[in-house]
Amino acid sequence: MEPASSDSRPRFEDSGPIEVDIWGVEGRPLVSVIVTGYKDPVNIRAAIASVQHQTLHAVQIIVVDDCSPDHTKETAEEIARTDPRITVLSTEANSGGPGGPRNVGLDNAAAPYVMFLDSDDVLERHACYNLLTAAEESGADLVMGRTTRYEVAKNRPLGWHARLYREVRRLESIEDDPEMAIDTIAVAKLYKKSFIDAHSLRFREDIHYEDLIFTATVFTEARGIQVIPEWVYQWNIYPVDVRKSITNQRDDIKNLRDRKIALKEVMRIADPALVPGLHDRLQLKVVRHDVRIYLNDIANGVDPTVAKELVAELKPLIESVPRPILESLLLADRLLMAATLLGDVELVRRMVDVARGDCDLYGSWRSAGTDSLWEPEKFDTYPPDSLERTLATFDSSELESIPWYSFRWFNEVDRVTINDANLITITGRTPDPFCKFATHDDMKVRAVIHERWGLKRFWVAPVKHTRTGDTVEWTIEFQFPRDIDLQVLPKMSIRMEFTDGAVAHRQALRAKKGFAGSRQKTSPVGVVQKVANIRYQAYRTVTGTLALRLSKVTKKRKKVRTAIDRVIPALPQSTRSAVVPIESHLQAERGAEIMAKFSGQRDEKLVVVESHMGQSQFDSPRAIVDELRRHRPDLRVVWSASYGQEWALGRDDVVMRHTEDYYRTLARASFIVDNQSLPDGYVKQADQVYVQTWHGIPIKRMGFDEDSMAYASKEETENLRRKVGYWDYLTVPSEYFRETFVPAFGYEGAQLPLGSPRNDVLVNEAADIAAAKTRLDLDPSRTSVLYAPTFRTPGAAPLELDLIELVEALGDDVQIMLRPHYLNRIRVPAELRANVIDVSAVGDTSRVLLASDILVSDYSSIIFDFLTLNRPVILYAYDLDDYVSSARGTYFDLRDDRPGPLVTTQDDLVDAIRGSIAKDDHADQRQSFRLKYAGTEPGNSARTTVETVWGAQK
Amino acid sequence: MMNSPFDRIVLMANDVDRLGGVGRFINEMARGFHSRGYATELVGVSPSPEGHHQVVERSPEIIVRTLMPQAPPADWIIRSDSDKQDRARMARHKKRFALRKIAVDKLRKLIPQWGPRTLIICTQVYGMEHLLEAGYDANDFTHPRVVGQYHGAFRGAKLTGRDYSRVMEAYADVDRTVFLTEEDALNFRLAGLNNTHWISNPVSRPAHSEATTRRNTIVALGRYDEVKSLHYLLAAWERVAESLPDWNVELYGEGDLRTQLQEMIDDRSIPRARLMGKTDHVGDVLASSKIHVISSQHEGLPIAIVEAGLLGVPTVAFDCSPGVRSLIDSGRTGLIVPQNHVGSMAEAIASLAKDPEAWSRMSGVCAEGMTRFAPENILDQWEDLFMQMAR
Repeated sequence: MEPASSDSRPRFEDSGPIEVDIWGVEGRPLVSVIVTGYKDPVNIRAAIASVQHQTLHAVQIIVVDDCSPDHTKETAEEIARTDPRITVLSTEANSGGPGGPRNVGLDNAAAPYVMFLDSDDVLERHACYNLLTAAEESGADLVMGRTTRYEVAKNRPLGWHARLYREVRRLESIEDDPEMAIDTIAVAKLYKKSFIDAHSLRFREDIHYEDLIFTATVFTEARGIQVIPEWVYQWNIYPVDVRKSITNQRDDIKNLRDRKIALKEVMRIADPALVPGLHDRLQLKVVRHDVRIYLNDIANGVDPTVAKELVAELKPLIESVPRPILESLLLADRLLMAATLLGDVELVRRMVDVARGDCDLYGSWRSAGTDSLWEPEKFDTYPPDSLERTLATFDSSELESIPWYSFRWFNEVDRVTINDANLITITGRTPDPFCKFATHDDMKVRAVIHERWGLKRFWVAPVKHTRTGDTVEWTIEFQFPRDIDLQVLPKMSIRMEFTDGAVAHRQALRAKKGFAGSRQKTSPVGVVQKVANIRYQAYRTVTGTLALRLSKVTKKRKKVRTAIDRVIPALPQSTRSAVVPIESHLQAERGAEIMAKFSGQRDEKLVVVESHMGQSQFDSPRAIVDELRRHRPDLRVVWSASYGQEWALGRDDVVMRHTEDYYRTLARASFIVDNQSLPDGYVKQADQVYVQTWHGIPIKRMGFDEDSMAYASKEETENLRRKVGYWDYLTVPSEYFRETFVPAFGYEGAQLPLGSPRNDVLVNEAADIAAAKTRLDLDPSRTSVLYAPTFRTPGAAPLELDLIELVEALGDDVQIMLRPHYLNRIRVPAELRANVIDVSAVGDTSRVLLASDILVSDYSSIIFDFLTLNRPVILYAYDLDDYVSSARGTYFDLRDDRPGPLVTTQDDLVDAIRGSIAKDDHADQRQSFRLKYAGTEPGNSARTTVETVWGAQK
Repeated sequence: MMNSPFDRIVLMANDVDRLGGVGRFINEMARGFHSRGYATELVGVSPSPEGHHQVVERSPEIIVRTLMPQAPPADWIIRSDSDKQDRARMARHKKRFALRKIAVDKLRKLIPQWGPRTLIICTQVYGMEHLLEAGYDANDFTHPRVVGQYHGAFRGAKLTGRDYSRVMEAYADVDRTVFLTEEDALNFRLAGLNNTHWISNPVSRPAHSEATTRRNTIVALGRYDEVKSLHYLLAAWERVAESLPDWNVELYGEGDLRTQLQEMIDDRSIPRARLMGKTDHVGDVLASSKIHVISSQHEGLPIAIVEAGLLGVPTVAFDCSPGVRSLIDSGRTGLIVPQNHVGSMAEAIASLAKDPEAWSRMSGVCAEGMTRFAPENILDQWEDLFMQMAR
């Protein structure tokens, strides 16, 4: 029932509502927000509004205009007339920076706490409330909140020291964590007014970078610093003119001089006798941040004479930083400082690329034991203990220990030529002083060209390469395709790919501005291309890499180009059915239709093989294929590959999954080998033989055992039953598998003799762990620990390990291999690559397992495979609680039954790894777990499988 | 309401007189605010669905509004082309949006009528989404103030997926968002919500008739659904039933999984376990039982633990939420066992059932600390929050 009116509420005689005055219930301002601006009549409205809208009402809003010649002040005054909390003031004369107006604001602040806001930024709605509450509860002089930088033109947020603000923290003084002092901006902070008054804190008006000096003083003096995780301040970044004119570049030099003055003052204030931690951290910031700003400008291409002057100005600044701090820098940063001290602009540019992570270190170096000297011709002239020489001396093993597939070369394009037949020839060179480039005999190099949009096809092209000294010269010859995708006319990337059969690694080609041949174009082929004048040319992308795109044409031609996609089909049907997957929602229906209509002859020699739904060419299917080659060379194997698999490119024994050709090939096959599941569109043909080699022993409940199947529709249940009904043979690794998996899927077909083909290699090659490490370019003398967590959420999974701490705790004798689930990516910090190796590029899991001394995993079936090697296993199950609650149920409980120690924290993990290295204490436990679940692998499973399914040798 | 910055409190929920935690919360709070002199209103977005309705007695001065004229149809989401071809589904989809429009139009009129001295306590994010669609603007100080609430735990919100992002979006700008425990508030805070606060739900001692006597009964009061996952309790009981011949298990509730749970009992011949259906006499049920069990996947602050505690029934629970941990001092006032660990749950139940002294000790102290949930205390905390909001 709806009441007639909402005014029927009860009335109260005793206590009427009390009017809340402008300052809220406490009747006084609690925070003064000082809004400063100069010539900013537009944005200042939003800035003031963001303070007016605060959830804290008791905010004194002091707007200080720095004598703008426009109506900035009038705008503020107009708003002030509607809100008594606002006071509008002005400086006496323009002060040329925010310091002057902020000081006026401080002189007039009436609240017990103050904060600053620039007129082009805004406060987060709850900022004042959150900062004030934190200040009152902690009694701190300073409360710091997080800043979000916001790129206005692109409508996207950028970070600003977010990692400092991940939790609530209380520091007695900055010495508790000097890292906080790198957030040097004066905004996004709340200051206790009595603290400001006690130290007579004001902004310097005589120099620029007054923020640096102000916050240095605050950090030095503050007793009690409270850090809150909330973001409080939005720093708006407006587009500036991209290309700086020479005059603006000259401004860089003036800027730098101002900054140097300010930094000198900062170092004086952050007195090493009182705040040694702060002093050192700010010194480190000089090289890591302040110097880098100008070096980045140099790398981005300022005028050479300006660059020269900048480098000369930077030299004394670097020299002012204590040597131990310079020597503690990461290798790339250290060499960058050395290059700057030398005044060598070319070297600076190269090292900025390296420090940015675009490529690894290159150039000449001379080895002398563990200490090597970089660019000896240049640094030899300096005395051995000079700063220049010290910084240029490095431990080359740091780079030499990085496996080739984690190394990034600087592949520089020299020239691009295109002949009349549209053969594109790209020549270039790759400096390779650490000998990583194709130095292994079995490493092959090729180029991969990839359409970025539309059909996203791939092509491969041969690469010829020769080595002269430290440099590899290479030539790519790419026959430009005739069947251009006329509907989309996509850009195409060109990358070099290195592969040794199990590991693949792709790298970009780098092009200088105006590289030779940048104006050459392909010629149009056929009438349509000619009419529309379709020509491609090589160009340098914004990130400095080489790619292909359509050449520019007149507007009139452009109209023709855009018109053709209406009249011209993108591609001939024959190409489509091989490279274009059927739309996903039609796959089941259309696939089944193709298979049902198939009326051709079954090919009795054809075996179609699929591993991990086309994402892999390894696992048991590969072991069976290898055995078939030996045992039944008369059979023809065709692999199924999902889109974009590098191993499938340029091969004629591969069909792309979900294309029409894929379903036709499936229909023609006499044998199917699989380890997971063929798509719904697959309909088994009467005389086909289907070998299911399943990819792992289950821990989680599977098939009809899954809780979700209890609520599944009849359709889903039927579909699963249909698919399982197709299997003629099933790989059975252990009795446990027989007891769980087989009934879970209601499988009734033939079971192969116990064993897994994929693990044959583990049985047969277990003895030579050194060889296995060498094959992965790892150091055979170091203990290798493999961390292979199971799949959690798709995409970039956050790694629940602090790698830096882990490396420190385990030392250089241990190399850690990281292998995320194939749907996840993990980023290894560049400087850790000698100790932490991302082995996700290694397609063959067995190779990784063979090279691992110890496995760290959680709920992954990789554990069962690894047990074949009888090496230590540690379960690192940091999210065990979440796992057991979200899991669909498990066949057994890892807490009760497991192959080795179960740990949930990194500290315990380190102890467990150290323990396992020292002594294999869990051999018995592991053995009984292995016998119970994984079984004993015979080592000839592929052979037994082939003999059982395909019979006698032909 | 001396000094209060508000003179009207609007409690908003998906529906007003629905069985369950939120329903109890809004009625208890409405009664409390009304008795403290606030004009009090209850707003339900839609009528409660059939079979979930309960009759509540309240002062006629408490205004009750229901925004939608009828409950919106279920099964309305359009995901694929085949859904689009399903005419009945499309009709339900259309109906749903038509009803939503009616609700939003009503709110659009109510927002200015309520005005700035009204506080809306929006107990569920669904209501907030309607308010936002009706043009509610937290930055407009002629509008009422809104405090958002989430009655689940952080981990639960993450597990259900959508809940988490809906809370983060809909409540980003409201003046405060109130969670049930400190830990949940902190988790949401660290996840990026900037206006977090926490206040527990009020719980009073359930009434029971004098005639009840304690039986050797293990009781659960959860719905028969996936979240409450009562099959874990049945599995745990199955392990110890034989050694406890004079004990039995009673599951009070209702829900979609009734058939599955009954099948489990029958298929495995689990002795002395019964599905009792829903009860209107929680007090009597608890007063005549000895052990209360929570075997859920996630919980907010389970009121049932407090009610059981107030009636001297200790709880054995999975470690499924901060709420559970804040209510049970494991080993003293109840027992917390690892999530989904059937063996530990069975052991915990047996340890109490087989040791009458241990049970008595626990029963004697499990009411401790539960009085902090007394409605008067909780109302005080809310009024403290009002004062903070008026600073």
